[in-house]
Amino acid sequence: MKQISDHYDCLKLLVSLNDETDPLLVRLVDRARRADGLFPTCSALDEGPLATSGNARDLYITGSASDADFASAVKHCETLRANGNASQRELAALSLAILEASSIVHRKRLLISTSTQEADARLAAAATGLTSEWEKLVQAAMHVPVQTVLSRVA
Amino acid sequence: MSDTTAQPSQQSKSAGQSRDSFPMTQRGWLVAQLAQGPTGLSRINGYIMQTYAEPLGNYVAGSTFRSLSTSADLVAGFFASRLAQEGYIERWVASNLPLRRWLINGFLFFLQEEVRRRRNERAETMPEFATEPTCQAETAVEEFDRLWAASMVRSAANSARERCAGEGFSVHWQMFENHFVGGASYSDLATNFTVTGGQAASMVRTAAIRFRQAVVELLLKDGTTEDELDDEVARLMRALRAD
Repeated sequence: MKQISDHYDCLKLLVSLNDETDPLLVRLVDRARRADGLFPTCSALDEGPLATSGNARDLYITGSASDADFASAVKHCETLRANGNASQRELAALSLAILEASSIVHRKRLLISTSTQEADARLAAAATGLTSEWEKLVQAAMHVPVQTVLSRVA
Repeated sequence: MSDTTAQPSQQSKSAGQSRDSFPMTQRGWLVAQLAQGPTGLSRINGYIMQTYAEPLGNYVAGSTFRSLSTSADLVAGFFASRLAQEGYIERWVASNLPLRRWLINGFLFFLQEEVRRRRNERAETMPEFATEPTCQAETAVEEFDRLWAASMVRSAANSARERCAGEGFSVHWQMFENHFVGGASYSDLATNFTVTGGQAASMVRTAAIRFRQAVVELLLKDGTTEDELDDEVARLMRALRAD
């Protein structure tokens, strides 16, 4: 096991105290760890902002979503995240992570994360409580080689 | 054993039973020890020597005072001089200073006293003290903050590592270190530890919570209030970046 040897290592550990990605996703990680039953359900995901342009699974798991569909879903997620109640905001954060996963798998580019490191943290956090094909999508995104993922297109 | 006589580490384990909760105010533990009389004071002194000897020693080893003696002897002399004083801890409580600030202020006074004492006693035989070592108090405090921050983080990491091991989470701690210190991605962790990405995030989070609790415990014992924790962590990060 690596020893905490120098000030730079100590600094990196202190940095871990700050949420490295979306605080709402960190909250979801804690929900998954506690199994408190408040993690967004599959039906909530199927019927939430991911369904703005049609069947959410067809669009983002199968990969039929267009750039406009992604843009519309992101807009709805961000609106819900800004204006929703606590559970709606968490659903929005999780939906954004799923959109990121779909973009990586099907378009080979980042959607909302500004780096592959941020995307990795976002996807891993999202994967903690997901089930069914949504989980498979996120796990698949995590295994897409980094060098094939393009940076976010402005 | 009552709450006020339990050691801080035991208190943190009790607090840990309610999972992700933060420990009770640890400065309260120090103050509570004062009410226990000599036994409590002995516990406080033991805690201070265990926690602050390393950064104080590192500070003096890098300062112009290092020519006085070995850092271990100087720190031991300081503790013997100050911790034996009646009311020393009570004066710290009344000062509202962080404990580390109280100690480095006292240590600097002690070192200056030591220089003067030795110069007066042995001026003829120790000409190197003809010129008194100097220190800028503000610079000394900043330097000590940096050393203390590193020492505190190492101590918190050791504490969290031991707690993880005691709870059967050694692998979780290893993943936490690999991720935050080694720079391994969650995807790498999933591959290397044969878990899913979600499990990797969850396991790292388990260790991260214990590390956070250990840091908070040490900061509270040093005199930081709960409202000041985020600002204090940010300040310590700046101190370490100045390395």
